[in-house]
Amino acid sequence: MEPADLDNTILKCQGLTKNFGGVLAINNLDLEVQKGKITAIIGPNGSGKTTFFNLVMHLYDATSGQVVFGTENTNLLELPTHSINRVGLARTFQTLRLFLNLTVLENVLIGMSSQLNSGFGAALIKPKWAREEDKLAEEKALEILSLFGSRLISMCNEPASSLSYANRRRMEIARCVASQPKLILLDEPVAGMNPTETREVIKDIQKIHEAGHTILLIEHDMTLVEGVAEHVFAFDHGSKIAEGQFKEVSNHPAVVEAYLGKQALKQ
Amino acid sequence: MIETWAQQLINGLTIGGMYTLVAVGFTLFFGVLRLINFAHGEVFMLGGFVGLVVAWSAEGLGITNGIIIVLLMFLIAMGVCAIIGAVMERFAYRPVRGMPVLIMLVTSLAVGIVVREAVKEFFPEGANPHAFFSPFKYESINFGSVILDYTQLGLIISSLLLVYGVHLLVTKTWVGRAMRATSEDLDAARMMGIESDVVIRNTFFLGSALGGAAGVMNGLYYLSIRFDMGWVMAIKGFTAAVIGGLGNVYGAMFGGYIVAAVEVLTVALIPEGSRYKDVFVFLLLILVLVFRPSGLLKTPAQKMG
Amino acid sequence: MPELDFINDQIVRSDTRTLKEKAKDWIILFCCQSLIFGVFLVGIALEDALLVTGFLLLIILVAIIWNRRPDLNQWSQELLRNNRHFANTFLVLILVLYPFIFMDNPYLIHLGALAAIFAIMALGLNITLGFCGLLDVGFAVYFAAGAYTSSQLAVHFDVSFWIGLPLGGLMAALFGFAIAWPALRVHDHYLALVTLGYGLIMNLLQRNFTFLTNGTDGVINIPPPAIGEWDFIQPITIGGIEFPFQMNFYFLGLILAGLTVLISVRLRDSNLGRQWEAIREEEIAAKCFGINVPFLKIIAFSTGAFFGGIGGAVFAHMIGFVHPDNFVLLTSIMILAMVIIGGMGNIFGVVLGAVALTLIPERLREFEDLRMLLFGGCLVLIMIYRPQGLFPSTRRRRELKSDRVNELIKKSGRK
Repeated sequence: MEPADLDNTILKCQGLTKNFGGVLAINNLDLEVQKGKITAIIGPNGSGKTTFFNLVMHLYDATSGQVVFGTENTNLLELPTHSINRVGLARTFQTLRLFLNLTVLENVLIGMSSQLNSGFGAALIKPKWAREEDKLAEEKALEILSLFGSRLISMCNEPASSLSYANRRRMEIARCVASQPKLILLDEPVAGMNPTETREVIKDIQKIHEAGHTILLIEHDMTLVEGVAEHVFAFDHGSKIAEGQFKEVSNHPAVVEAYLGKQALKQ
Repeated sequence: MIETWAQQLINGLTIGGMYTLVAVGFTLFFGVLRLINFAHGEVFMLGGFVGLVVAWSAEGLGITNGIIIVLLMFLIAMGVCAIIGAVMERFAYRPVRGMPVLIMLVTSLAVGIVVREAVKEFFPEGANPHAFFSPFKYESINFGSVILDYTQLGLIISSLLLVYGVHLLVTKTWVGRAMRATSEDLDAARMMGIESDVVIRNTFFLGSALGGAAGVMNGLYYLSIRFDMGWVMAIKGFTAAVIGGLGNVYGAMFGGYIVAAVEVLTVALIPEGSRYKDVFVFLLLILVLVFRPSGLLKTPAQKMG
Repeated sequence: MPELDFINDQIVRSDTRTLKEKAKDWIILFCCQSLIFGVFLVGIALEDALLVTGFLLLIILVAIIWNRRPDLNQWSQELLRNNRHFANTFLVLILVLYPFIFMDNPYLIHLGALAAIFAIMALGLNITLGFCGLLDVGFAVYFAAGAYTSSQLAVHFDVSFWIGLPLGGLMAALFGFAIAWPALRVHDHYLALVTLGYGLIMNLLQRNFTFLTNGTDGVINIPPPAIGEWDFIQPITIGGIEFPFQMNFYFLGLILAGLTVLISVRLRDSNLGRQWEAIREEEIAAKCFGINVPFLKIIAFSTGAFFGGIGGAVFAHMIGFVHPDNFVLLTSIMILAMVIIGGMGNIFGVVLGAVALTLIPERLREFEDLRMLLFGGCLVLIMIYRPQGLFPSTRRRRELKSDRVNELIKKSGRK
């Protein structure tokens, strides 16, 4: 394991615990995510990966522990969810939570909410700055959509409900990028996709990474993790059981046991 | 002092029984359909009017035995209400099943308007209050200054009997088990071979019959019924259902007595309280919804018993 | 001024028609709109309830046929979209001319004013329910807040209507704000129950807090709005022609309703409107993308309530009498029905819903209590057969010009 560069840590958890009425979904979790890297979290179903994202975004209240973000050491557990996005975190959803009746373009514009200043007054009076802000935002949104080739842009006036499944997953990622986050959390970005689509999404993720984004992703698909992740955490029963490069982690006995059970280890 | 409280306890038990019966209906409907059936209050009102018609016809037929008349009232009112409830479900709620909450909600409000206005329009003198029939007018048991009249005694007992009947039905019979399964998970129940249409119809039969029984009890207790009394009862009924946790039958029973207690205490403790008793009930509804939306009894594992 | 477009809620593509085609479109549109308006005039002038019923059935039949023919539907939508300025101007003209046509029947003008008031309130609820998706079954609370505030100020403190009107709106907004707090914690059914309970509590308090509301005696002798010495119940005479005083209220209502429409359109097309829609669609995702959900919900409640209060204040000063019976649950259901029947989120539809639900019951007065039965029955039928309302909101407002899109597609290309 490489030594953790303290200045380079973007997200740091200490003793994070979440107790759902007696079930420990996250148990005393310590973890550090490095800036500028693609980090992956793997682990069997129910090992607490998505719960971890929900805790980081403060969709759930943690039972104890802390989550610190960025150079200013902001404590995320004290912020409401919408401010967490403002601080620089954005996430996708495993179950897809697009605004289906809004157009593709509008979905991206919602992703930019944190950067838009026009509110109630601006809506009524429509001052010059608000109109300019609108126009700029639209340009920016198109730029982000064009990261994904023509797939999303050609649909930009259509409601998100008319997108195909794979494009909906891309839409989720595009919406994340739009909020100009310092850290992007991807929750199973290729769930339910075929191998071709998976390869394409891997390219998309790498492209976003090259554009300078730090990414933390949850994934079951080992090709994806192997292809993109520079650092891997393995979860089981709400705790971190291994970390390091993909090779080390995937061969780690605890990880093999978690995925396949004790018998597999003995053989 | 103690006598006042005893009297209040008796009153509370009487009206609590009625609220309980209405609340059980709400909770059953919500369980199987995820619908707050606002028209249920009107079914309750209808029960009262059917009871009145039965009493009139019984007098016309020369039946003089009070107990027989009351039994007939209960039976026929429950039957008619059960059928009306099932008709409502078939023709209004089934077409909108699975639609957004708002649509189901407005449908049930509209069905309520239809029932209420129909009674107002087509019942003779429907717009005016009607005196109810009472067989036990002047007989009562007195303990000092505490009065327990036979009507109250009968009402308390019959509400407990009905509640016990519901308990048996829900726990001991196939129909009840199917109902519980459907309220846990409609799709899973369907996959296990339970016909959800039948279950939902049965639920409306049962819930509406209980509503009708409560309507008769209300008439016997207050001796006066009006076409517009359904609303207030509906709100008390679903307040009770919400207190017990929507979908939880035993919770609804508990909730009914809580609502009655709040009402009785308001009248007893606050000067001019009778004008504000409904305010406190509604306030209780809002507070419970906001702070304990799953009800005061928290038993997620055993939803409908 | 594209924002004045309230018939369409879609944005037009660039206009490439020749002058001749344009002229043709306009003539067709003029004929169609005149026809619709003519039919409407006949309908509203009908006195006999049975005739009105037949008339309504005829309209429903036409609507059903129209609905079955997607080509006609498409054609009419295209036509409206391409000639929105013309169509909108025509509509405004009709609304202005309406009272002059019925000069000798002031009751119809009065009904028009009443429709405008209910349109204001329905548009208010449309902000809460249509834009932000928040179920509010207690809208009569805000109606009452506006009516009582403005009327009691006028009766007891001689406050002018022009001050009472905004104060009524603000008081209503305060009542909206008050329920928004607890309402933040609940959703769907529970939200409906909370607002319903709120409406019922407030109605009971209106009956019992006599020191504020005169209880069931109601507030009487509310003065009409006045400007200097002249007040609204004195008819204006121009060139020897006396215009019925109901026209004063009609135009007051029309101007306020127009302003409400304008504000609604601006809110809908703004950043805020988009964020409201995001909350309605996916609250959790909205939260995760920096939208301050509680704050925006409170704004939606308060803004909607404000317009309820404005409507209430005008109502009080027009009718001159305010009673708790005006603010019962049925009023809330009525306003809710206006929004739903018109088409949630669609401003034109909501206004039309308000006009229809104000005028039709009045024209069916002969049926007396049977009207409510019919109303309930029709509402059930509408929920079953057309739950999206007459004019469902068609999104896609922020449409980009297609050449811009093509250019971008070319630039990015498929790799």
